[in-house]
Amino acid sequence: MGMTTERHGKKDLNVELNLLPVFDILSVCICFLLMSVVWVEVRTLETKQTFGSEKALPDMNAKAVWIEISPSNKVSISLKKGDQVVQKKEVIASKGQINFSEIKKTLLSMNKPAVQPSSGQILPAANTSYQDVMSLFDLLKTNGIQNLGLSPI
Amino acid sequence: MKARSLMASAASNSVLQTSLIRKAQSTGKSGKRSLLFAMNLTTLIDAFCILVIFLLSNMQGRLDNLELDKNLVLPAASQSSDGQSEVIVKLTKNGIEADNKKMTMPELIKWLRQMGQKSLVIQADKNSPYSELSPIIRAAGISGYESYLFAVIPGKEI
Repeated sequence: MGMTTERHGKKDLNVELNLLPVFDILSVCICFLLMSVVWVEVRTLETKQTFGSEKALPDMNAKAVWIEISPSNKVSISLKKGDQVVQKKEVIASKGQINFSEIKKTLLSMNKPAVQPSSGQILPAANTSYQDVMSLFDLLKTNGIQNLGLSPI
Repeated sequence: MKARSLMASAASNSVLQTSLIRKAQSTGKSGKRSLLFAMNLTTLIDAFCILVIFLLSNMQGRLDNLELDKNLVLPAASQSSDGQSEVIVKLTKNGIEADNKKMTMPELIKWLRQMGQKSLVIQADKNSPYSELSPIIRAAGISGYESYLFAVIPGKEI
């Protein structure tokens, strides 16, 4: 609130500003924003169902990466064109866990312009952890494979 | 006139307060400290403004996000996108939960069909075995869902 006082008919240029209402408004704003802010942001990974759905996946003749996980966490990576296997590599588990660094190297070697796969399918085992499945999806997406499929058991 | 007199009295009050504060700031007589002290609110308001701007920029217009179960620890993924909360199915310790109640496979299929094939979001603990997650995917396939979204938290690249 601004206020001027007159002295000898002249207006005083000194203005006293009441900061308390501003302080109140800012406090309310901060309280509201702190309550409504999203602290843990939940994001999503999109996938498609490989088998068991009514519609088939589009363009089955396109090159696709098939990743099969065994119960012992051994990963079999195949580059397929339709039903024909073009390239295949097996990645043995490291200390009982999936060897992601080796899978990353294999995917990079498969991801050449001439053999660029357009889709990726994952076939996990019953004991494969959800985190491992998501990490594999993440690896495929990092390698530019956006159409991902997941097979139910 | 009345307003002017009120303003004048307010001004005199504020002048009185200022003089009192100034008096308090100076060392008190007879060695006693006065309880009155001057608090500079300007710096506090500056800090508050910075906080408000930070929170507003951090919010980015998003007020609601996917509802997350407290007992679930979601897996991390770097290549994730924003999700919409339309149909949420949770895999908890109690089993499969949807619409805030525990469901069996036939109930889940029926409920998913009722929901009309919107975007399906699956929430599960990162340590859950795939054998527990697979029935949800199978139920979604039977109900006509072609694609679905897995809830993750942003993480580092492998």
